[in-house]
Amino acid sequence: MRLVILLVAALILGAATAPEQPLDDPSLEARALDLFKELRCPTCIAQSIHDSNADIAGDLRIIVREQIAQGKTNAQIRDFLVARYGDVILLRPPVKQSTIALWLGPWIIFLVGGLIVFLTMRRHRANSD
Amino acid sequence: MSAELGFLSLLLALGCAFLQSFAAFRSGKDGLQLSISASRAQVIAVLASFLFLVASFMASDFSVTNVVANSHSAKPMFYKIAASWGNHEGSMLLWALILAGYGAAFAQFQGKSTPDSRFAIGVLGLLSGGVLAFIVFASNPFWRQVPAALDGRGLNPLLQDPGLIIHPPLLYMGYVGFAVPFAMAVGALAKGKVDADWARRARPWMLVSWGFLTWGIALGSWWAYRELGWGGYWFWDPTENASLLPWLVGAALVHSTLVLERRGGFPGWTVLLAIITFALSLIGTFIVRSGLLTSVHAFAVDPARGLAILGYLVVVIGSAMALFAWRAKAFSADMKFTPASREAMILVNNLVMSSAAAAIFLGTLYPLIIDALGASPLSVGAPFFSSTAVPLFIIGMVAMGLAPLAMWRKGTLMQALGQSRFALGLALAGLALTAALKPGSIMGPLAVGSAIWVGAATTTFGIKRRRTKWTLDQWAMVLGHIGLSIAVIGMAATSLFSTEISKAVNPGDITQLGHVHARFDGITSVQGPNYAAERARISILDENGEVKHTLYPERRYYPASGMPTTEAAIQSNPLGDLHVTISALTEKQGQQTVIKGWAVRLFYRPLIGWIWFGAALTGLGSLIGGLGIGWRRRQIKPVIMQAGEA
Repeated sequence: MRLVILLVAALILGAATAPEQPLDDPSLEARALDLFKELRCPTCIAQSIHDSNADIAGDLRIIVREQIAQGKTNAQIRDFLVARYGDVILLRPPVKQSTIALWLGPWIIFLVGGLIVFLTMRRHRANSD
Repeated sequence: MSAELGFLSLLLALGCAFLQSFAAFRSGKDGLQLSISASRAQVIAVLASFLFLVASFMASDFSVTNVVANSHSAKPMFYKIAASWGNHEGSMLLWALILAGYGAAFAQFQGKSTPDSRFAIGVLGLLSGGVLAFIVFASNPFWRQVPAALDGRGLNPLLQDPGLIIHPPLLYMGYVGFAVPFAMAVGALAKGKVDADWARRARPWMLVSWGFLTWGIALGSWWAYRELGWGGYWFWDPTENASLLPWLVGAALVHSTLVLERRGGFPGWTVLLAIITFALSLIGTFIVRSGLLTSVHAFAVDPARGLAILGYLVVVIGSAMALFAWRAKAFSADMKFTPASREAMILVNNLVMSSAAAAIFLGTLYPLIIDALGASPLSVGAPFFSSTAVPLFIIGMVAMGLAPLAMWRKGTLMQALGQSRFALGLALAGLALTAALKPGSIMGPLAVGSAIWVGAATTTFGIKRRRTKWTLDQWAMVLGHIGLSIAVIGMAATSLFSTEISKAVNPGDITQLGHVHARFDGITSVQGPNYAAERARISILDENGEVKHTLYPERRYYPASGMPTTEAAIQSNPLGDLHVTISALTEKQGQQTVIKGWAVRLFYRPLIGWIWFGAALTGLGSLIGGLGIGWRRRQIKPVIMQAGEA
């Protein structure tokens, strides 16, 4: 299914797949690889551009590497891609009003659960012999 | 002809399911015997129906719509057979078959135990009846078309993989198995009580289901690793998350049921977990089968069908929850334990598993909620899930190492830690080493440390008992926990220390990745049974430039489905996998796309095989425990039987 979408996208774009070359500086290349893992491949379901073999993912990898080579920061590159694709490009949703419940929810559940566990333990407390 | 016979068997099965349920709910001894017989007849009828469907696929009967849509005459026989359950209709029939199987097994082994298990047979009959009715009215796999098609429309070539043939059956053995503890929970809420005896009867079913679910999930991940993209093994895709939810809550369930069995504690909570686990299994099936969350598995995108499944879900889960709300107050237990006892550790397990499940549930549904509210769309992906779930799992693993060393009811933290000084030292050493190798990483070293802690503390438990004969419970725990420890070490090593390189190459070029030197020798065209491929030869060289191994990654093209796929070549050993793929560098010239050259991509993933080896061990432990204990307890007939016969 994923590949069908990708193939169709590739046909529509008709783009030539440029060869991907790693950046010469290993520390910059490592930064690029880490950033790839946080960016969603636009034609995939949940894959990052790091994991996807879609053409569009390859194009985005080239763009990210170019911008890193130009000396842009990760934040600048993210902003550039968000301007182009929207928040949907980020696999780590930005913390803002509409995502507060997402980011805090699990920890509130954990804390409330922890409180219940604590109270249960106190209620059933035995002497430690 | 076989399609009509299949449909008739299906109708027969539907009748048997409702008879099973009706007879079980009616009073009298004859009713019980009739219900048990109906459960047997039901499983035979569904099996017959399923085999008739397989026969249609084997014969490539292209007058059956389902065969046309999902098979092809050029497909190897093995994949023709497998195609019968690799689609919506067939997989629902498989689901019904497995449910009927569990129902008949339960009726056979435990049906006569207590009034509440009799009620449970009735509930299982209703669950079956609902699914079979759905298949008959909304999802008939035997539908014929006139005129017959000349040939089929194939099957997604990505799904032509042995790993994926047994992935759905294993997954369903897990999902559906939780119907038994669910039915027992409903039976206990309606008719009986939730106590140690209930736990003794219910726990084997939970262990068997959880073991199969573990294997099913692991197999799906292994398939993704070999077939999707570039060897990711877990994408936090909605379908994957859907299978993880019952796995997590199921893990909480098997442990809280253990407390109920040994100490009579947490009866209400355990019953609630049994209901939620099956509810999540149903939602898992629903998510995959309704196309609600679009994903690689969503073959069926049909809102009417989705609505029917949703209705089934609401009735089943809603009525069980209502019953729970009404009756749960009746169950409470007076049980004393210290904060460092085994009960306390299992409470931590339950807290972590439930919180992680809640977090994953929230993260999976959040984009849909945002979409429904009309806010700007967003993605919730791997970075969210790992930064939320990983810290929770680390807390859980600390308790997991301590639990077997802690005592029931009593004990202090110092007593438990005192037995595990060696394990603690090893864990801290692993943590320090990882931190030194990967400066700046926090969760990585903690994950490695806690996984070593679990493995070493469990080994300590085994060494202390080396002269005694282990119970099946102890075998299940040791295999399960050590397997998990191995799997987590594999995950941590893969995510921390993987390396990769991609390069455009000409024949003779050598690409270097760490200690690996890979020479691209060129491309040849090959013809497979139902595909054409370009096959690269990649030679892995040793220090002297001699060829050590040869790998053959491919780019395949399946004419029946018209899509090229990447076939990775993987060289595995226990230390890690070398994963090689090729991609074509193409250029558009007018109407033609021509291949201008080739690029090679090399990945080295240390210890990645440990993930599946560990998961296989964990599943095995659970299955040994469940089947072994279940077989020994098959004759349990508590005294309440005569007194409580309704």
